[in-house]
Amino acid sequence: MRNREWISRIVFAVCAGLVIVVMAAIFIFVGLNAHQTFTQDHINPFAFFFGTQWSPDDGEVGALVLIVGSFSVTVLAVLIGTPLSVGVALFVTEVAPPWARRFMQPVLELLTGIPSIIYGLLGLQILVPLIALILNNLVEPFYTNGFGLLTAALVLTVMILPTITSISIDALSALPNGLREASLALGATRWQTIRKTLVPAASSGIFTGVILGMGRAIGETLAVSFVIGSNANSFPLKFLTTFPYVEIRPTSTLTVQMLFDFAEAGPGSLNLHAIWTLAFTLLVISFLLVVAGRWVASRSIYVDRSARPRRNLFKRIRPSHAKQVVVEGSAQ
Amino acid sequence: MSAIAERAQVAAPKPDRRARIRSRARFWDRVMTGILWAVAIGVVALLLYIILAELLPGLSVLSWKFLTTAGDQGGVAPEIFNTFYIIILALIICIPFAMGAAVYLVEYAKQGPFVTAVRFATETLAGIPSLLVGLFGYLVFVTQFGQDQRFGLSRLAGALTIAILNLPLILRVTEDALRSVPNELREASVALGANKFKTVTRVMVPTALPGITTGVILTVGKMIGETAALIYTASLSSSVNGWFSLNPLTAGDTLTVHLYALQSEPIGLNIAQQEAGTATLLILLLLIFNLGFRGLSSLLNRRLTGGGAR
Repeated sequence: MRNREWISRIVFAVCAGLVIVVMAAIFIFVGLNAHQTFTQDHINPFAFFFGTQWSPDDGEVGALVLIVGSFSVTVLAVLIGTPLSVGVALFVTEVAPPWARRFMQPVLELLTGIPSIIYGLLGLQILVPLIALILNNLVEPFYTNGFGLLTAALVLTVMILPTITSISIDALSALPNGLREASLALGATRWQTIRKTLVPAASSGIFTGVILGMGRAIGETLAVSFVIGSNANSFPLKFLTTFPYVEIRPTSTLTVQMLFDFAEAGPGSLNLHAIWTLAFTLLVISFLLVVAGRWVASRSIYVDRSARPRRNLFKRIRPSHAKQVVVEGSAQ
Repeated sequence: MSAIAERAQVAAPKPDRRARIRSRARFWDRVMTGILWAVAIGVVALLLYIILAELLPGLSVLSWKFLTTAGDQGGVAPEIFNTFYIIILALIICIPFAMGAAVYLVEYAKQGPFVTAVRFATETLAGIPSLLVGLFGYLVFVTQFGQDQRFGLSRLAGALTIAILNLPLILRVTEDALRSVPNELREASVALGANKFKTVTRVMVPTALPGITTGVILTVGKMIGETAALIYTASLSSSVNGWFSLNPLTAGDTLTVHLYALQSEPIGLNIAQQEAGTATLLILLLLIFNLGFRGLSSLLNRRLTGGGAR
């Protein structure tokens, strides 16, 4: 009996340890392939991360455009998406009548569940022509073909909205009701309560959501690949001295370039090695985002206490129980 | 006395100024409430638009033939079969490990470096982009570290990759479900003399089962939409013959990968029609899994726990 208890404990612990093993394996195997760009092909790391020419067939692997592309798309999506997401979260927790609250939950879950490829197709079929139409009428004819930074960021905005919203809802509903009551008792209106009390109190929770949203946006592949224009040699924006001062150009991101090049890269080629280096770069970026999210979350004051682990029931009971079993076993 | 009264009059704002402040606050309160309603309605409208824009164009394509023939006759039967095959295989691989880990975290583990490491690994794994997990799957499951073939482009390699990708999610869902089991049930089980293993297998897991089921169904909804992780592990196309074999080493694409393949390499019959039909099918599956099974799981919850508290 006691043996089996011990075995089951080991089995469960191995299952938990497997998560660590898998995570470590991803980092190790991607890393083992990533260094080849520098060690086998003798590309200068500085030239890799700050070079602007990406044409692996000619021996040029400068990934700066891709890195800038990934970050600019992500940041723009977060800038547009955060106010909207926090708005929806405030609506659900503070404003909505119960029926509307019940209605919003499946809406958010459906938005999360829609495959990224569908977002990509919709962006390609509807958003790209729409953006081109609007900007070409607004700025000047033939200003843009609709592909690029703005379209990709808008598609990503819709994709990260449910992530930021649901984490903001958790943060807002974990706030003790006393905060609301105290603010309202001072004569504040609901909006004043939200702006001066609730949003500041929930800010670290909301910020955690924003960081997780960034993680999702920077790793998104297919939706972006359809609308970014995939040109690895032009920065997302080009600044001009005359009107319209800024030009939106088709660009590319880390994920998109990995997706497109991986199919064509021959084994052992510079292109393949460079893809693995890109992969490791992205892995490190998303790891840093997770660490940042954890750090911000650990700073929040108001957390849902119901999720706290409970005390171990078996601590005090086990000794006598175990002893009895041993006696039985030795008698046999 | 008169001095105090005078000072009080100076300190208190004039009545009309106070009224102005109050009315301004009320005005902004109303405006912002309106804006919050507008944002929420906008999000709902956006969702409806997305669903209708993908659902309607393909409805006319959906036919018995479309659902039951392979690509050579313009159908998507192999893709439907592969989608469910890969998902079920991934669940079979993933659930035992995820449940074991969750049980360990909830019932066995003491706070310490190991638990911290497991939680950190779970969060990191959940944050890794699916394309990267796909490339890792290519490295480890499709080939032997990039050299020789292991499983090749196959449904098994795809399922293993999807299992890794969703391990953190299922782990978290199972852990939540186990934690929400009332403590009295554990106490009762222990009081009856059951050991820890018995308590877990006979009391905790059965009680948490409705919660686990709901979580797994939500995960399946997510798996249906997975594309980036499958492109380089489960192949971009299915063979026209023999797709219905149960051999896990067969290569095969899912509905989402099929959509990607149609978009990136438009070769074959009626591409536009196939694309519209596949998108419609995906949206239908999503609606079924998110709305239909939500009702089912709440029913299950009521049946199994006798008037669910959730």
